[in-house]
Amino acid sequence: MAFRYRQVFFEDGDIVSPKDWNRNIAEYTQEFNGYLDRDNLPSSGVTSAMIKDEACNSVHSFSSTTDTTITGDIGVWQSTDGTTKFSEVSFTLDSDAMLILEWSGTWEWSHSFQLSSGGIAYRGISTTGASDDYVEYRILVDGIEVCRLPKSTFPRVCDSAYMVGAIPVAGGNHTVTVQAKNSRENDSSPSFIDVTLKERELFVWVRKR
Amino acid sequence: MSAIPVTQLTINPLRGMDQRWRAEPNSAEIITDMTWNEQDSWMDGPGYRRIVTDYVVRGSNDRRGTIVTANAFDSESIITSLHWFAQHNGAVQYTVWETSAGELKIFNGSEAPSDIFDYMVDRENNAFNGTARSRTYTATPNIRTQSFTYGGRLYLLNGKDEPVVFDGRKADSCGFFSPAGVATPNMLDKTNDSDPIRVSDSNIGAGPSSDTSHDVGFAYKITFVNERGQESPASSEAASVVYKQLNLTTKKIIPVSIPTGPAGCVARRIYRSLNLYSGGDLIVGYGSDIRTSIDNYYFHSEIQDNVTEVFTDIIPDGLLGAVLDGSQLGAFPFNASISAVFKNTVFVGGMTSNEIRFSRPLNPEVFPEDNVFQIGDSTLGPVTALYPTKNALVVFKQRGIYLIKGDPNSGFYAQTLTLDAGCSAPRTVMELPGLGLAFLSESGVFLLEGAMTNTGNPTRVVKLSSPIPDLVDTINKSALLNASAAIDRNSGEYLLSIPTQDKPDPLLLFKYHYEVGEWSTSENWPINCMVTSGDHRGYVYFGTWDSTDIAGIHVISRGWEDKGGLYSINPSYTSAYMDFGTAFQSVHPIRFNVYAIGYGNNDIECNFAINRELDAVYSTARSHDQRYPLDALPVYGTATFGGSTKGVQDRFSDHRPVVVRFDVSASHKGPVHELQATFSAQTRRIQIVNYNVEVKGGMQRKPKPMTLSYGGKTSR
Amino acid sequence: MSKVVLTQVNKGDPLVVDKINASIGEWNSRSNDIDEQNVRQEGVDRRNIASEAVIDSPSTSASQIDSVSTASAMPAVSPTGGAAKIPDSDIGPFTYNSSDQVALKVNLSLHYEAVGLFIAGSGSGNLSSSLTSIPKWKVAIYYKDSASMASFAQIDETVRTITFGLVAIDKANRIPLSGSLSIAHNFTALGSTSTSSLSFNVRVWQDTNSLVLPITINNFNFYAQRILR
Repeated sequence: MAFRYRQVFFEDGDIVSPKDWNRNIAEYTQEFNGYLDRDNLPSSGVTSAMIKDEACNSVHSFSSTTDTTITGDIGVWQSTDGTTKFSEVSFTLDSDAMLILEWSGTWEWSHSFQLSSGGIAYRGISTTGASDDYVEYRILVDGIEVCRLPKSTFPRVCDSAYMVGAIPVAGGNHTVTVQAKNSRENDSSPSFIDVTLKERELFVWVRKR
Repeated sequence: MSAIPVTQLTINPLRGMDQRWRAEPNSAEIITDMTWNEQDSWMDGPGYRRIVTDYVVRGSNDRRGTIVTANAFDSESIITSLHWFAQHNGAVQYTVWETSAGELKIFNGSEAPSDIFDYMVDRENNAFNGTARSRTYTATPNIRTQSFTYGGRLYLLNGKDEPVVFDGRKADSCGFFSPAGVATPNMLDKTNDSDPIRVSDSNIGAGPSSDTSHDVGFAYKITFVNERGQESPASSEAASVVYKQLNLTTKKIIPVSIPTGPAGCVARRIYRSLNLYSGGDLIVGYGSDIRTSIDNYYFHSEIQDNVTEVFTDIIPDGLLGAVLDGSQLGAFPFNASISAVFKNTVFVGGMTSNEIRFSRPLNPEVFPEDNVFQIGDSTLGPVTALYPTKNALVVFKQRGIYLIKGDPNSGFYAQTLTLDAGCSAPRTVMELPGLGLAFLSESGVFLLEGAMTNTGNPTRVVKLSSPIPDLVDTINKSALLNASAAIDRNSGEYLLSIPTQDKPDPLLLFKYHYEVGEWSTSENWPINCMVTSGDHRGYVYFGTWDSTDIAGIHVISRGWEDKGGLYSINPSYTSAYMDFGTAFQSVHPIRFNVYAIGYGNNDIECNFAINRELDAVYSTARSHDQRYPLDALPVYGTATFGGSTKGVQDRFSDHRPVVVRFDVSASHKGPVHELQATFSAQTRRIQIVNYNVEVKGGMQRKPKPMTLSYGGKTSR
Repeated sequence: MSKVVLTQVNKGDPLVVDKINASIGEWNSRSNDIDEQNVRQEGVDRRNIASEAVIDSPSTSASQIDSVSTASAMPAVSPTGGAAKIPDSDIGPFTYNSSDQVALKVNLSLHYEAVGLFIAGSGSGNLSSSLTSIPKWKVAIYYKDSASMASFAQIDETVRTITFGLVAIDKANRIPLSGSLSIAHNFTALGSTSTSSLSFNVRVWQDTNSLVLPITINNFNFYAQRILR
């Protein structure tokens, strides 16, 4: 507890010496000039107006309604279609923080609509092998995977999903990237199908304290 | 007629108490309420006050002009222990105290002065308020709650209640007191077609897949893990499951029921044996099988919750982790009442045996069963205190001092230092800067000097309290456990609060001024426990046993007028007896010149005693201002700002040594063989540098005939 | 500068009150002006910070309903025309001031269910063989500043699309659709405009031809939270 107490006692009849006054007032002033702590401050005394902007939290977000293509025949993690990034933010922190990452988006498989007269109907180009085409998404922070969505398979022609993760980071430059992979479980003959990523948003909440 | 010569004896420098019959003249028989300062003088000592001021409460009648004050500590119970620690590099400080009402409180200055604490709470939010949760209080002398800090947390143990670890927000139980429960593997069937759970991927699943005609078996052990990563002892038993695989390509999956841990458990670790069978035969550790034992358990997985009740085992033998070393796990010792941290290892003692148990390094709550020292014999008393120093952990018994040396890598070992001295009061063990370890024994105060290792500086035990045998004789040896100590670095003092005479509760303070190696004393200090804050302020706080008149936590400072508003501060320096010779040699004191700091108009008093008589020479001490008579210096109470004295504008003056002269006489008392002076303050402030005494010394041994004196001749 | 600067009194100084008053005056003025220079690093603790000083509590903003069924026809028109509001999904009013906050975060999560689609037979879920695109339905968050807007507007980035999965050959073999949907949105649509009457709700519509397919929405949680500092 950063309470301070007088150090010198003087009373009537004592010589008026400045040392006594100086010593006692310095005892309090030393603490006031840069060493106050929680015991010196009242409960609930610090309000929003007293807190510097972004002292505790900052937010970085990316959102888009521009369609972008997740190419089917690449089969590896991609973060861009060559011109448009799926979702990415970069920022600089002046202190350590916890990043809480949320991403949601919606996508659609490129397909031709077809109804069959027998069996189960597909909307795809071929009924062989295409059922195990999938798209999956993940969030990386400085190249480290933080969270990943389960695979969303082709029969879900349009779908939306949301993923969340958290990771502590040190101060400095950071990049949060959303990657997607369009692939299939079994390497078989049907042509690959692209996925169009549509409305999406990446929300990065930086919790500093 | 020859005159008796006047001799001036200068007593300088003034030193502390020395109660030997023949002491040095510059020592004192008794010094009370004084402190030695580095300007080599003795000045008035400190008082104490509650750490928070009174606050105003209106009376119920609310009459104008009626102000009623109260203090947050007015209804406080006896404070039985006091602890201080900090986190975040000292930015967040905690003062924790325990009371006789079974409470654990944490200081909260944000609501001061009316509301100054929060109750410590456990993880279920039960408060240690003496009702929801309570700590045991024993009125008779006992060690009381000891504490140590590790990993930014405060550990509290008293040998009666469960040890508690406080992280700044909540209190948890320390470690685990018993092994984890037993895991039960069961080859359950699915509800559909009564088939067992199975997998046909040959890369996963326990046991060999081709072994369909032979038995396959596994056993499991569990440990609990708390949020500090401390692991419990493993299950005492390991239930096993024996089965045959389904077919050549399909393995059965083993569901295992696992116990949930106690409150505070955040994870369970699973350990599993290798396949207990080879070719259908139970492995017994000989023959062609290369494994020597089926009793090894390997890390399987960690269930990161305390909720899951069943998990499925699909890990093959080849993917199991490190072997479980059960000897490195152990429960937190029950009944441990003293503790210390040395070389990243926690040592505890005070259990019913004479043992010192120590933890696994970097695991303060895990105590392997084999980590134990048997210290001394039972005949030499229990282990009473532990104290870590640079090179050794010092283990005190009531009669005996031992050193534990070494480190976690190369191992610890115990040495006997001495069997002659010991410590009887664990809360008095303190390290005196530059000197060694001071502690209180039944026969006095001792100092353990030296580096406690082979550096050429011998380790030895020295009796510090040799100069004060009379004071030591007053110690209440039955209540030594109630003694406590603290180091006041601001004043350079080792403060030792000791119960004396018939009283079990301390009221007398022994003060060892370690910078000069001298003793003084002070009365009316109802100290039950003490602590020095570990920050830049270095204040000494104490909790009192007097919950009636002066309850609460107090802070020591020379800025207070008195002691708790109840007892006055009476600085007094009584010298040792100056011995002037035999019964046939005597002196006549005529003057004392005291070199004191000129504080002003408040008097310094002087009295003296001769020949060890019961009473002083004067019934009322002589007194003089503490200034030169012709000094016209402004003083508080009379001077005014902008005022003047004798036509000269008043100025801020300064304290400086002045000579205060006391003309005295003891001729009505007869020859003086021994002389003792007492200097004291009439009010509060006094500072004595040294003094001299002028005496008429020497006796005429050769009588002169009166005829010679009047001009006669020795012969006709 | 909020640090107290004392005026040292020295021995020999005239016994006047000037220097002492100067120090006391410094205390009087600085004690009203405490800032970060007076507080040690990491010296402010949780208990010193007023409730909701850093993050507004979402509890006053949340809207939680158990189950709502859009059993009646969802509008099969574009959203600007007649997107159906999920009942009881209105939240607000909120204060929005981009210069006095870090962000306004809007969170939505819900669970949806629908009967499966099939080709042959009659009843809900039946797809006409003349259908040329798979039925989809969409959800989005809408906002309105009552001080400046007459009606709610769509937040385009929050549009999410769901479609049905496999289409069964007949009603007996249809597979129900169910799933969950969540959105986290950083609301910036008002830019630098400040308001204290900002509201949100959630709307759904079917984005396909004239086929009407109901869905059931339950376990719905929708709130907005101001991150102040």
